Amino acid sequence: MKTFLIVAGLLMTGASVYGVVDYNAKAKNPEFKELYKEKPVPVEIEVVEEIVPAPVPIFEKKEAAKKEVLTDGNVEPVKKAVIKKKVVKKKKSEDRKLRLKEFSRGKMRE
Amino acid sequence: MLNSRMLAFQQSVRFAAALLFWIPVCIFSLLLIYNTLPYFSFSKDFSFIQERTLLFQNDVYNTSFYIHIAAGAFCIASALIQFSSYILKKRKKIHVYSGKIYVFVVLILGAPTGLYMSFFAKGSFYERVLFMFMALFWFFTTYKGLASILAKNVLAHKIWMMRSYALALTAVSFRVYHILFYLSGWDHLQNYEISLWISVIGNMLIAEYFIYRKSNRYLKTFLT
Repeated sequence: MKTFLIVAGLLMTGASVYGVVDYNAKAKNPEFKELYKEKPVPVEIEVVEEIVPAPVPIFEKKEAAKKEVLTDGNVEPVKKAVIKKKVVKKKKSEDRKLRLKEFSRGKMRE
Repeated sequence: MLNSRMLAFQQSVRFAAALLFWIPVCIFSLLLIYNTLPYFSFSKDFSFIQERTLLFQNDVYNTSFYIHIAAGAFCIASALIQFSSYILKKRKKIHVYSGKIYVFVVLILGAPTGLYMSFFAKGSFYERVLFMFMALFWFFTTYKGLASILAKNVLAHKIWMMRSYALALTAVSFRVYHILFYLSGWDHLQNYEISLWISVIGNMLIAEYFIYRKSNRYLKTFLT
């Protein structure tokens, strides 16, 4: 039993000493410093253009009627004003689902 | 008549509480073991390994990792047997042999490899210190459990083994918190650190609560 405990103690001492030595050796490596740093992931966004017709003012019709009378119908028709709205939607990758395979210490896959 | 009814009621409540504790523990422990098995295909297609490609180039780290996950899976599986009162009463030999293997696995394989890997653990300096503490305390509590049963002190053995198991089970509870925080939209690194602290402190507190309920002189349990 004593031998077993001595071996266990030596292994723990060895692990801590080698851990310090190995850590100091690796700490000089610039790749090691960047090991767990998360790279910024570009956010995917979907741009949808929504065309919304502008509300036509009521007096426009009267004015157009007056112009028709004055010019005998040779005037170009009045264009309706159009407002373009940009709707920004975040893509569905934001939705997170429960996957039992991810029951680990590793990073969850998005 | 009323007393016997009350007694039966109390017993059934205790049984239900034990089931509420052990059923999730068993399910999540088995899930952890099930998810550990694919690692022994030695494929590198796991997010845990891909994050640490640089570390896995080192043979010592690589070997330590595989020893550590095998040891951890074994400890979690064997602990499910060790705490069964049925096995303890009717099949004591299973408890003894399985316990001997548990102690060997923790002291020779699990704790030393965990201690070495803790130097390269994810997170800040504090998380690395926490991993070191876990490895050292796991070693210490298991050693105390062994020493107390060799001294025929069964109560102290139970108490120290509960502490040892609580630390082994942090692997399971970490994953539960990790998934819960992930689903609630937390960032990975933040989630990792919080899950780690909650799992270690939470498990230790739960173990101490059970020990406190078991022993009349709680503070003396640290000295036995």
